[in-house]
Amino acid sequence: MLGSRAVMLLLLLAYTALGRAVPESSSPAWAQCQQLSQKLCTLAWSAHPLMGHVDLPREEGDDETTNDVPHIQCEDGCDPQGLSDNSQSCLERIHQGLVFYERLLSSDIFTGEPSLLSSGPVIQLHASLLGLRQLLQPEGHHWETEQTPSPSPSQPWQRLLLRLKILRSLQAFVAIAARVFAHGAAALSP
Amino acid sequence: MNQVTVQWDVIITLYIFFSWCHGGIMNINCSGHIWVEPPTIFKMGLNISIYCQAAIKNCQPRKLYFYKNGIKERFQITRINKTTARLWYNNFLEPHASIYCTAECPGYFQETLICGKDISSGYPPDVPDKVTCVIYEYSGNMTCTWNTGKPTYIDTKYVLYVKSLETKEEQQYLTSNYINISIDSLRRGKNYLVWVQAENVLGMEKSKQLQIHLDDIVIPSASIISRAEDINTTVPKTIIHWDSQTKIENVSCEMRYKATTNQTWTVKEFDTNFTCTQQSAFYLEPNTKYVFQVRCQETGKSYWQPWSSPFFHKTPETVPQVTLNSLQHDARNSGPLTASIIKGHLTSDNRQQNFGLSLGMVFFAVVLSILSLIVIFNRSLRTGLKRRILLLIPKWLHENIPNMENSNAVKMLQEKSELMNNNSGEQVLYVDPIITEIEIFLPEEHKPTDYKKERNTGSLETRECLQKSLLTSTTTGYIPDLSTGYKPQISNFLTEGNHPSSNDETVSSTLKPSVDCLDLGKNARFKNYPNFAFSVSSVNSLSSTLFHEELSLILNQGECSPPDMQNSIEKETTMLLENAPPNETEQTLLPDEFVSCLGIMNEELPCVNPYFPQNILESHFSRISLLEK
Repeated sequence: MLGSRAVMLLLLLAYTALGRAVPESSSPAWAQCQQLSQKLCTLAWSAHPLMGHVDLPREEGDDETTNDVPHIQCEDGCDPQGLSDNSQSCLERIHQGLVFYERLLSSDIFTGEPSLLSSGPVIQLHASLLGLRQLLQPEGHHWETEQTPSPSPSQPWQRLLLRLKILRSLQAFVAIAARVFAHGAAALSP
Repeated sequence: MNQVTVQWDVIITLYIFFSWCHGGIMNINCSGHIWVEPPTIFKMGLNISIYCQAAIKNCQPRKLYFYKNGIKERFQITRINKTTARLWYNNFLEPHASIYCTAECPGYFQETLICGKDISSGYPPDVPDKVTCVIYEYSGNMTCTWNTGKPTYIDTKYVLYVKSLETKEEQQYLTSNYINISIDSLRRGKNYLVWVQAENVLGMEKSKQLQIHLDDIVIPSASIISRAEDINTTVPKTIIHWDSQTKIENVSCEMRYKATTNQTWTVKEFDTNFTCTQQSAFYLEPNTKYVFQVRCQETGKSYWQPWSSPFFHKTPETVPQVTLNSLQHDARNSGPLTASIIKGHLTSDNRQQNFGLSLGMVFFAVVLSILSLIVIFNRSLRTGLKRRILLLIPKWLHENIPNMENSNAVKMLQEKSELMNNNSGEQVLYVDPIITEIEIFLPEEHKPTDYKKERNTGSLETRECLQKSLLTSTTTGYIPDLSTGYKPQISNFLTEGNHPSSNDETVSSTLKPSVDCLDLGKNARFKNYPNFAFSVSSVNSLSSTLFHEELSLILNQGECSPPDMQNSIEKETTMLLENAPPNETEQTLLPDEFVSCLGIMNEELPCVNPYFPQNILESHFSRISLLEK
């Protein structure tokens, strides 16, 4: 029992150290991030119908699936209090998510057959993700992003479903990100 | 603060829920099996069956569904057993389709995915034909092409086989429908056998074998037409300059040309040696646009260059000289246009053409002389006959005029007529008097010249376009001098362009129409003006009518009483007239304030507009929205 507590404590310390490792001084351009994240929200929703009117079926074992998506979780400190205390861990998590979705949008899932009804919104979405990522990570500021797994080659029938899954996940992600930046622009801007 | 935190928690919960629902977003989990009979790539037009077998834990599927390209299939589904269903297609003609199937499990609102499959249909390849291998000069490659036949719709590979007839070595090149093979790899002699093999999952075909000799398949470097030159000689001609970088000595070329309006090409063949730029002369129709193309081949070989890119040239408009008329006419009527090739000095072809031309000219001269001789002969005959007749008839009968020596009266008459002729000759020499400008002197205060100018300008402008507004016409230089009593003819402006006939009273003044336009009692006239343009495009006709009423209301309720309003509008209009840019394309008869109001109406809330009292604008916009509803 004591040992497990010690392990927890160590993990917590390690996490705190990791959080502190991010330079406190580099505050993002909150207002710009807010604008871009709102645009991302709009784009993510507008790209959804382009995937065709497919009802996404559930997959057996969803609950047990090892989740390979970077999630914004409570410990990332993306709540208002957490952002006021130290926004860096939250921003790092958002950055990680942006890198992840950026990679997915440029993969064969979106570029391969069957071709999209219109590739314009997805291209815009990809460009906006890239823009927001660059805003979050100015030059000279390097975040240790986890090695995001590359998607394995997919078959055309799988892409129909994967596109929907990815976009839904992205919608949820950018909704949170937009809220974070809205709060940052209102409360944390210098 | 608590509320914010609660909202935050809700969003995070939703996000996690979404993430869990679609945990593995980079892969798909199958819960069963799907297969196709015949296999997934089949001949187009076959009947196919797709089977789906569910293997979902704790689920006895109530129904099994098939989706093709994301669209649910409603027909031709047969349930085979509790876990398996079959989808049947008759005469399947789609090249590609993505199929997946789902199951309806008890206790789940969503369908559960079983699995999916991509299917393809197509044809076996046709026999490749028209296999051609050429070497474009300077390319360093042998390019082989062939005709693949009808599309196969499925992945098809083509293999080019090149076998040396000297060493019997065989090389294979995998490709799609053409290939470039480096000359360096063809060092096993100059004679080769070439053939193509096409292959896909549905079949395999081989082309006929083609025997080639590397020296026979060289195509000279591309020929380019660089320019055209029109020479205005007695017979105008056009010289086309063209060139090639080829180093092949004996080259045969063809130049084709036609009028762009024509469909038939005229082709001129000639042997060439590209030591310097080629010049070809053509006798073309004047004032006609021609297109020229050239191509060459090594003399005696089988492969031509592709035709060069089209070169267009329009011949100049010429005024044919009278002396040359017949010659030009003959040349034109002689059928196809003649051409000659000039290259520094005369080539054999050129000489041949000149010889033909000379022959034609000699022939023409001979014919002309024969005709002349006939005419001369006829005249002598006629003269002879005339002489004989004259000898027989009395002298007075063939006198052209009475002999003056024979008659005094005639003499007198002749003298008189001479006198008269002299007089009339003098008259004929008179030159027409110069018509000088008529000057009318009028009292200065009326300024008739200005008046004329203004009237003309005004009427022209109004004829051209109603939209060239009052503003423009006024800013072009007339400021009415009210003391003279003159008023510009704005009536033209208003009466043209289907204006209502009832507004005769608006004809007289520049400023009056705009006043009238804003007059509450007459604003019905506005909606009848078809060319009236607001600066805000989205104002529709219904709201615009109302808007004008409201504008008047606004003005009435504002600082201005009706007469004041007129004055203020006059001032505003004058200001607009003075400030309006000369090239204004869209006419606005409203002062700036109203335009701003219109702009704001569509963009911002009315209450933030400082121009008008809020209550008036609010009631105005609410009425508009009510009407729109």
